[in-house]
This record gives sequence, C-alpha cells and structure tokens, in this order.
Amino acid sequence: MDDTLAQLIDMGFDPSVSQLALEQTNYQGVQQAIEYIYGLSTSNNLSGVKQGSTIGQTPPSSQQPLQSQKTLVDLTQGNNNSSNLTKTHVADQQLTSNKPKSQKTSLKSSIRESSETNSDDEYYQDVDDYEFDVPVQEIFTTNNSVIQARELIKTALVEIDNITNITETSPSEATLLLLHFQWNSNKLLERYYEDPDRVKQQAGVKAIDQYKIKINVPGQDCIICGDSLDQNNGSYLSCQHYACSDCWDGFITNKIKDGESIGMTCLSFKCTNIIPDIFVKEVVPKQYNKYLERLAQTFVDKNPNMRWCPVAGCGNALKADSKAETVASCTCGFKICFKCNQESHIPANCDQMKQWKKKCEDDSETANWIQSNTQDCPQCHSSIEKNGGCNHMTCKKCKHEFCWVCLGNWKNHSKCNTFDKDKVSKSESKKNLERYLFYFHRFNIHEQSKKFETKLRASTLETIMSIQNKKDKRWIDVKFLIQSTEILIQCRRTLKYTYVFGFYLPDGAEKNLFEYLQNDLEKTTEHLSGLLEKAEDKNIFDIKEVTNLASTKLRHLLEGVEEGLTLGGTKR
Amino acid sequence: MASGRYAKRLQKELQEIQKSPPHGIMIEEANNLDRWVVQITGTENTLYNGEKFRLQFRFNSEYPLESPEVMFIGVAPIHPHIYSNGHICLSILYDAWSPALTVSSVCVSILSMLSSCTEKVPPVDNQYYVSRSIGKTPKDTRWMFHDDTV
Repeated sequence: MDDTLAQLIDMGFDPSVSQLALEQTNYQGVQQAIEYIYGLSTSNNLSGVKQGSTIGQTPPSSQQPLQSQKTLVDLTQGNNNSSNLTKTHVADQQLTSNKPKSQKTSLKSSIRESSETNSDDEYYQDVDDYEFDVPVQEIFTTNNSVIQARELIKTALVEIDNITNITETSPSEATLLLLHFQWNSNKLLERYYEDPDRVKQQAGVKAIDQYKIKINVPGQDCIICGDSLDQNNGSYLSCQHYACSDCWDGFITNKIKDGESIGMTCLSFKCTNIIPDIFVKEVVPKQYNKYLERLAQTFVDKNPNMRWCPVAGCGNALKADSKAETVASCTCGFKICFKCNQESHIPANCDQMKQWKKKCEDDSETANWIQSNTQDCPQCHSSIEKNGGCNHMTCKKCKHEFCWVCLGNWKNHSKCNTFDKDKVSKSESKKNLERYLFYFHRFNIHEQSKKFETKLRASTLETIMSIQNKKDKRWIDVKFLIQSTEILIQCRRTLKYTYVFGFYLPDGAEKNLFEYLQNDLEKTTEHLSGLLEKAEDKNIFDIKEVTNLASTKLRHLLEGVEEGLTLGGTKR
Repeated sequence: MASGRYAKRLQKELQEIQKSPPHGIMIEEANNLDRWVVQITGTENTLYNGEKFRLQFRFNSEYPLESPEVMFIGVAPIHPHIYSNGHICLSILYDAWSPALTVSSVCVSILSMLSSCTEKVPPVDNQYYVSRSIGKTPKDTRWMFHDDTV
C-alpha cells in the first residue's frame, strides 16, 4: 500500500491527492488511482472554460498526470462558474498545489480548501472569485536598497583592508584615502600610483608621530587619575601628555562608544595630536575591532546617498539610488525622509515639518496653560489671568468690569448659567491657538495610534499562526496580514502628517478636497485598524478588502497632493 | 576601577586646590565626592570686580572621563553666556571636555569668561531658554557655541 503511494508521489502527484485517490479506489493500484484523479479532472473539463495553457509548471514524470494538470490549470484560470466548485474542490485544490509557482491558483485553491473544512458550500458559491485574486496592493514602490549592517561593515572592512595592504598604510589612513575618493578604490589606486604623497596629503593623512606604549615614565603622574607612571604603565603620543594605560583605555573606549574613529585626538585639553591605529590596537586591544567597525561605518556617515536607519537597534543602512528619491524604507518597517533624516512625513514637506516642530515646542506647554488659566477681556481682548477667587473682574487695561464665568458685562448681569453660543467671542490669538491645538491634537492622536499599531507587527505573526492552526489555512492564504499591518501603519503615519500639511494649507477648494480625501482615508484606516486588532479567520476576506481600499485611498490622497489637488480632483 | 579613579582623582584635586588655591577661587563645600560648591570672586579691573558667585559641581563615577555638571547657584552673574537659571554656555563643559581638565581649570575658564565680558547683558534667548529648561540639568541641553571670544 505504501509502495503504491510512494509510486504516485514519485510520479509527481501531491501526497494528499495520492492518498485520497488511493482511498477512493480502495487501494486497487496505481493505475486506478491515476484514473480516478484523471477522471475527476476531465469531468470538470466539461464545464470549465477553455483557455490556452500558458503557465509554466514542473512536469510530473508521466505524461498522463501532466495532461490532467494542464486541464486543471485551465480550469482554475478561467473558472468563473463557481457552482461546480463544490463538486470538484478536493482534487482541484490538491492537484494545483503541485505547482507552487502560480500564486493565483494557490490563492484560489485556498478558498476551496477552506470550503472543504467548514463545508459551508453555499457561502462560497456566493463569493465573487475575482475579488480574491487581486493581490494586496503596494502603495509605495520605492527602489531604494536596504543594506544589512553586517554586510555593509564586512564589505567596507574588506575594502579598507585591501587599501591598507596595497598602499602600506594603517586602517584609518586607508579609510581617509577611501573617503577622499568616495570609496572608489580604483580611482584611488590610479591616482595613488601617480603621486602617493600628494594623494595622502590631499586626503588629510598625516605622518604618524612617535608614541610610547606601556613604558616606565619615572617622576611623572597620569594626568587623568594621578597614578605614578613608574610601573611600565605610561603611554603617550609625541605631545607627551602622559597617562596610564587604564585611563587611555577608558578614554578611547568612551570615544569609540560615542562613534568616533578617524581623527581621534589626544586626551589632553585642546591637544590636536591624532591617536594612531596602532596605539589603539596596543593600548585598548579589546576595542580594536569595534574601532575598525567605526572606520567602516564612515562608508555610510560620509556618503550623501546613504543614511543609517534611525530606529534604535536596527543598524541597517539605506541607500537612495537616485537623487530625486526622498523616501526610503528599511526592512524594519521604518520610512525615512532622506532630506531631513526624520521619519517620512509626506504629504507635509521638510520646511513645514521644521515650522511645525518649532511651533509645537513653543506652543504646546504654554498653550495648555493659557487655555486653562486665561480668558480674554470681552472689551479690549487682552488675555487675562485670574489671580483670585472672585468672578467679578476688572480689566487692568481698559477698566471694563465683567463676569469671569459668562464674560458678560457685570452691570445688569444675569442668566450667567444659560448657554448662549452666540456669545462665545474670542480674540484672534486665541483663535489661532485653538486652530493649532485642533491640528496638534489630531496629529498626536494618530501618532499614538501608530505606536499601538506598530506593536501589531509583532502580534500579526502570532495571529497568522493561530488562524493557520485553527482553520487549516495555509501560510500563503493569510500571510497578506503582514502587508495589511504595514499598510495600516503607512496610513497612520501619513494621516499624522496630513495634519501638518493641512495646518499650512490655505482655505479654499484645494483644502476642501484635501480634507475630503483625508476624512475618507481616516475612516478606512479606522476600519482596517479595528479589523486587524481582532483578526480571525472569519474576517480575513474583509481585511483584505479593506486593506486594498485603504491602500487605494492613501494613494489617492498622496497623488492628489503631489499633482495639485484641484487639478487632480477634476481629473478623477 | 572606574570608581577608584574617580575618588582618587577628586581627592587629589581637592588637596591641590586647598594647598594652593588659584586666585579668586575658593572651595566652599566638598564634603561629598559627588557635589562641590566653589566660590569665585570677580577679577579686579573687570565688570565683575569683587562680586562673589557660587558654582556647583556635580560629578558622576565616570568623572573625569565624563564632564562634571557645572552651574551657578544662588545669584548668577549677568553675562551673555550665562542664563539666569545658572546654566553656563561654555564648550569645555560639554562637547569640548577633556579628562585632563580639572575643577580648578574649569573655574579659571569661567572666571576668564567673566573677565573678558564687555557688557553685562543676559543671553538674548534667556527667557525662552529658562522657561524651557525648568527641572533640567545643563547637560541635557544641546548647546550651540556661537562665539568663543566673549
């Protein structure tokens, strides 16, 4: 029995299909099983819509199954007639799973698979198949590259090592040379052979002065800790600033920790003597590798097209492949604005962000206080802070007497407890402040939501696992949840910055349209967020749909902003 | 080891400063190794002639590899680089710190900063800065050093 199964698997049939076929044919033999499978698929063929078979596939070892598979592919490709799905779903799905190349078919088969498990056939008959064939959309197609930190440092170290050997310099000198030629080693060597000294001078390589390491310096104390240096523990450069090895160690370790490498200078105050590599190597051997890494990191530090991912502990480098590119995304999910090195802030631009940040710094602390502690004099509109308990106020400026509670004239004043919205009068500055607070509040709320949703990233994997385990879904069916989470975060981030953009957008038709799109995106984002937070097998189709919706709305908003809203608006 | 260096170094500095105090500098309080108060007296023939100010030094165990936190307590001198909350804008206290600097050399630097002043005015952004740095130490500030000549 196992032999026949093995034979079938050898022929290229899926193990579970083979098993099923064997069961259905009562283990009569290989031929019967193949006929069973073949028969199933040909009977489908009657109702399936014919299409040219174009999909590449791995041919099974016998001709027959190949034939049957082709028909199946045709079937799944062009099958809009869902009524016969129920009849055929078992063999259909399992056969196509032989052929992992075509994601479309696998996705479809997954639907059938689930119908197998919950036998909710009618439900699936109502489902518009086409919907599920649309893959989750990517909104940004940036072509920046992300370079893993380890790779990068390894490459740079090899480069440094290479130049060190050829030019017979120290690693830091080699790095200086490389930096001078923007890490173009061919150009470097070409020029170097022409005139080594001149190239070195141009690159800022200085001759290494004398230095002494771990020697006895009788009569001198360490300038840092004050220990006497008569126990072979004194080290110094040509400037003769004596210090003990321990203090040098602490000093250099600190510097390396702060990210210094090239041009590290002597520990004495305002001394410009450069510490040579060999000194680091011998005095702080433990830190030497770290030091070399720092040298390698200058590859990114000094490269205008590259940035470190600012996320703590990420350490990857991002590279923009063209100058026009302003947004780069890291594999850790962070998106960076290349121009200002902050989190990507589209649709607001860098200048707006700068203004916004300054405004937030200036206003956020005072704003709260002003709002809760002051009111404007109803007559002269100057801000007034109340300094006592009595609500009968007299404005210092214009001597106007009024009621602090209702801001009405104190004389003949009554009905202080009745709400009258016409009476709400506010000074210009206060109106501005309120306008700012309105935008700031929303900016903040989206930021907070984003923080929560970033945590979803971690739990998404778990959710996928649990759906998979519970409902027998396959990885490929639910893995789009990862993308959904990313798109949700993208929407959140963009929404956050739309409030900066909106704050600086003058009133008018453009703003109206912008706010319409913003509102639209906001609603969809909330919907998606709600769905993702309680993602389970029942709502995965919803999630997919809403993800695509959100993705579309986000694209509309961004395109609209980019192309000019009113123009883009009439276009659509 | 690190804390050993810190204690030894401060003891040594204290001895030296008490043995031969630089002109215009007097240790007022140094009972603890983490906080000293130093009194400085404005140099003759300068705007601060004879005026007395109190400087507070706070050290952590990384001293002297890390700079001490230095600020005026009590009444701060009116000076373009000294904020009214006592914070001092002086590069050697932050970025340009070197472990070879000492309490006494810092005091001398601050005195000379006072001496070279030509007009007693507070920093232009005094109000703004002071209101923003309530409850913060000067080491939390990202200092920009505009001008080293005053």
